[in-house]
Amino acid sequence: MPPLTDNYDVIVIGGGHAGCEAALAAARMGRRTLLLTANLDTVALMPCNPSIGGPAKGHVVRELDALGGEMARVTDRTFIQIRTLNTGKGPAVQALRAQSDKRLYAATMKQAVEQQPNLYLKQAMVSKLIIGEADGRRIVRGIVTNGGVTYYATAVVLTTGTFLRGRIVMGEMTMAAGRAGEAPAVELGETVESLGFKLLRLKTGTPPRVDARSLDFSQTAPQYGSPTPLHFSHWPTTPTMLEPLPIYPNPQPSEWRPQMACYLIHTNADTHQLIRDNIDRAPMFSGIIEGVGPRYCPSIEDKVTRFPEKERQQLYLEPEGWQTNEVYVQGANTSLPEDVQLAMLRTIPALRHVEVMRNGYAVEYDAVQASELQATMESKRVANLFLAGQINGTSGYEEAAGQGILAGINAALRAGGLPNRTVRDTDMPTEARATIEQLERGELLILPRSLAYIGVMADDLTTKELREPYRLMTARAEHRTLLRTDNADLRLAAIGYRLGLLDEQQYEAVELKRELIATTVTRLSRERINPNAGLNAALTAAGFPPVTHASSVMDYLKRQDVTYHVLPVIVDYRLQIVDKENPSPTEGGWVGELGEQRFAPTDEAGAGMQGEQRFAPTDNADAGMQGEQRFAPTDNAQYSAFNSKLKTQNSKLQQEVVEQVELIAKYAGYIKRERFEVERARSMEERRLPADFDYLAMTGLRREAQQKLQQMRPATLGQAARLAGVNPADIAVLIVHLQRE
Amino acid sequence: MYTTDTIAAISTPPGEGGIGVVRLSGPQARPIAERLLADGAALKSHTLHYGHLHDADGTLIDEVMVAWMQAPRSYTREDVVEISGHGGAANMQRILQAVLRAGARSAEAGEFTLRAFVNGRLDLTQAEAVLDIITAQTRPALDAALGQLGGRLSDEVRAARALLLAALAHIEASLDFPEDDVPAPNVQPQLAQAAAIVVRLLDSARAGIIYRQGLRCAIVGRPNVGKSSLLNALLGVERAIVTPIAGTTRDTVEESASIAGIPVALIDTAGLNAGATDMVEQIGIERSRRALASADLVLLTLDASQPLTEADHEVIATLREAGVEQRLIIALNKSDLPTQLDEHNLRDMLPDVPLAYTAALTGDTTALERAIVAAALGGTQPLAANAPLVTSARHRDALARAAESIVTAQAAVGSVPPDLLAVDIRAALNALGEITGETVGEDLLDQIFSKFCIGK
Repeated sequence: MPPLTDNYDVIVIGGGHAGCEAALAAARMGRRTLLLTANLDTVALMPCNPSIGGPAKGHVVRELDALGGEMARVTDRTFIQIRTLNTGKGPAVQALRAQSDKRLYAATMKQAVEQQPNLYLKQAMVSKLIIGEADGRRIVRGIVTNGGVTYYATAVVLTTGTFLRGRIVMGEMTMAAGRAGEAPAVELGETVESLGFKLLRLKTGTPPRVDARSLDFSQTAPQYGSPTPLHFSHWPTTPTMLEPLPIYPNPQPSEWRPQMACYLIHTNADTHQLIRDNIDRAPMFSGIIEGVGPRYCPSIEDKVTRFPEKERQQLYLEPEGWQTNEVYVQGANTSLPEDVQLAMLRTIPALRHVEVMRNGYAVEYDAVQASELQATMESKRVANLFLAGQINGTSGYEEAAGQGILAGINAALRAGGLPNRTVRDTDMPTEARATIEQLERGELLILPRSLAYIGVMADDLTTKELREPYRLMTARAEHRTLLRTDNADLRLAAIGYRLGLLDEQQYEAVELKRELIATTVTRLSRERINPNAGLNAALTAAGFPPVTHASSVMDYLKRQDVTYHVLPVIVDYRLQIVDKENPSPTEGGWVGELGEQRFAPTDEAGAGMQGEQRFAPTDNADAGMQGEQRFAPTDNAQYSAFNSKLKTQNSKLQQEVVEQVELIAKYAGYIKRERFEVERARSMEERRLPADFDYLAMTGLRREAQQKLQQMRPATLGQAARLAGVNPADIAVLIVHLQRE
Repeated sequence: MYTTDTIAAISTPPGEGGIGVVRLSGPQARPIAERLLADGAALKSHTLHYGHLHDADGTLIDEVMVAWMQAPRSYTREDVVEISGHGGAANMQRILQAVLRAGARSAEAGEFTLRAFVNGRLDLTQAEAVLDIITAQTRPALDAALGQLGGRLSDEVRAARALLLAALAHIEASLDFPEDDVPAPNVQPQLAQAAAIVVRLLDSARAGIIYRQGLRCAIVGRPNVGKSSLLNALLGVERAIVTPIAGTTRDTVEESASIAGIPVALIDTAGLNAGATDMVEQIGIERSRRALASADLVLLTLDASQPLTEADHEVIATLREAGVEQRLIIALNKSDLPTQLDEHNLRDMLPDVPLAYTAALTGDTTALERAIVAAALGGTQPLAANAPLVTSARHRDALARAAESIVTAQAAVGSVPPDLLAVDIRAALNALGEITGETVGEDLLDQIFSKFCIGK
């Protein structure tokens, strides 16, 4: 028999969060895609914490969803609890955070992968990459499994997580493993190294899991999920819910869906003393671990050592699912020996009799250096070879998934190009428009920093030298006000549609939302209100501040103590006036029925009531709202009905439009400033640098800048400017050389 | 090094000549000029326009000639506006500051040439020459900046930056790690301390530019009030011809003095004698008028030992006509003789003008020197010997933007959510970073992780 072989467009190695998104994106873009994993039972595994989201991470999940990714939907279907973090800290940093049922999550994601046409999921350990040569560059041609099977492909995505020469450490014990109980990818690690990739050694860790039956929940403070519905996805799906095990007390009183609680506990002086007494047995201190660990996720022994003045540390007990006894001890990351872990936990009242089911451990692994990577996730060293996830030095499921979709999209573009679709010229951010134009010119997808956290991350990974595992934080985005969870769809859905990852209906829904926001803002900016006693009485009665001077409704909405809910109050007041003074209230219909009706201003000649402008329905025919009734407020009864509908109607679209309009009213100044900065820098961000520039031979550059540029090979002037060691004068010199090219 | 915004700089060398030019290039050049000129809408491309330049708040800055060169027929192939004003350093600074406040950015060294090149105005074969210009102008500027950075200026800027960074780190920690037991940030004290440093530096910037570039001071007065002896007293050497015959000084005499460390170009004018018929004297008078227009300060010299004469009144009328009251100092000379001049009468004519008694012949000019320093520094304190000196217009621009952002942030505390407060603090940090060459990045994360016990 001849040796087994097959051909694909795209091969993805690794079935974690990066690999699943990469494979799904490539297959959805029509590419024949192979997803290889060393173990089919660990597809989309959550090996560390059971939560998804939080600041910046939650933003990425929303962005993934707006681009046509899967993580948001799977999370929505499988969470046991969801909350909004940072409420009251501002619109830019509000973020969703869900506790997932780990097994359900993995199973649901695996199912999505299995059901995806064009996508083939197989279990195999990859031992070699097949490398060819094209145009004087090395190019990947396919892979060989350790079973000797050869798969050819145009593009390969490598998402090996912590498996590249992984080694786990607990106390004095170390063993070669990608995760506890799973073999590392040794041969593949050697292949990557032999290709000349510059690697660094990183470390991360995980806390112990304890048995719920051994916990004293009465000594904890339960934390509940949101009482109102929340979803990561812009297109919510039906959740899969199970009954929580009865061992968990304090069931969540929640009307919209069952949720489980998490439980807050604290360490104490005894805990810290015990850790200090055994610190010499901690691998981080005994020198067994060489890799650099993340500062944002220190081990408990690290925290106690570095912040001795802190008398107690917070820990959260997080159930790992509806129907498992395993509880994750968030905050107790450790690689102390087993006996110390147990003793340490038992110093805490709620854990006095705790039984540990899995011990915490640290894992050391190889990651490639930033200089190896492009913002498309393609490696510089080998063409058509894309890297995503922990191999790029990141940590976190969301970070991995974000890189995964980017790598999958670009691998698919390399293997077949863009589908035939037209994006309308709507009022999307200019960078989104520019990005689509780049795609249409045949370039790969690069998400600008000002357009997406995924773009911030991709850019950081290619311009900043890693000192520790990379985690996204909102603090990393220079234009955070523009990158909100509430506008991920407005930023990215057109790109997702253009790539073929969203369908037309999804795209049109987002564009309708965009249009409704714009018309509502226009309308409310033109509509005037005056400080009169009647109106102010009505406003005060409804709990709103009085109008102190004549202004537009939009200006009134700028006040922090005014919400969009004020509009029905104003309309009601106007209706009374209409009843009393104006038998023909035609001019009164100015608050559009969001999501259902559109109104546009008529000409001002008709002098509306009390000097206000008049609005009349426009032609709906072109707006994709067929079947909806046109509203013409021609009599009081109809108008009142319209208003009561406005008050009671609670459609998702209406809520989202309202949210955006309120946001625009309150934060317009900040948003405008950030947009100005972005526009100013755009020419730099979009100016490409030739891949073959010889920086060392460039006159006028300082030596330090020459070396940095030669090493990192930035793709754009903007990236060059962000490199440490390159100053504005060097950029001026680069501009001159660029011009000369 | 953005290439699409509007840049501005003083494009004539400092401290020389009666005329100085502030040049703008970029899409906002014309709108900015329009905003600052009373009749800016009348600007025609490639035509000289005479007008009065006002600050955004309506204060008259200078009488100017403005040339607008519409793109692409300009040096940079962008819209270029050149504002020619009276050439004193302080005046040029006023014009530049007004332009910057109206939305332009202070140009980097060589940036006009760079734009000319980028926009194809210069031949590609001139690339090497352009590189030379950029590097030649940039390196010394950088060296100068670095020289200062070794010293107190950098210490001060870094101190302000550290305060702002600590404030931002605290806010960011609470935003990025909401469940990590980070105490609620209270950034007001840090903002206030940072503001104090930046305001102090800005004051020194105003002074620094005066100390470095000096100013032009015209000495005027009717013949024989002792202008030349006053000049000599300030210079400390005999230079102008001093005779008791009125009208001896036919030409303007320009000398450099150092008054409390400030380089002052003293311009002795021929007597502002409107009735002069003598040809030579006429020419001298014309030059005097020009000296008057280009001076940062005008020193009206009067003879305190006599009542005001008709000629004194004429001079005062001329000065008021020229609109120099804002820049005027009165020296009441010959105070060693019995005083005959009615000071109240004088004050009625020229209210709010600083006034100092001097005795030039005996060399007593202390009060006058104090008045000159006070007027030169415009209310800011004279520099202490070891004070940091901000002498670059670019640094001053950056400090002004930092100050503005800090003030906005201080007002925003409590009234906007912390994520927006962070926007203003970040803007202040970025502005200060333009001076020290530091960007907000890893150092912010270092702060977050070293100050707060974060991590689950």
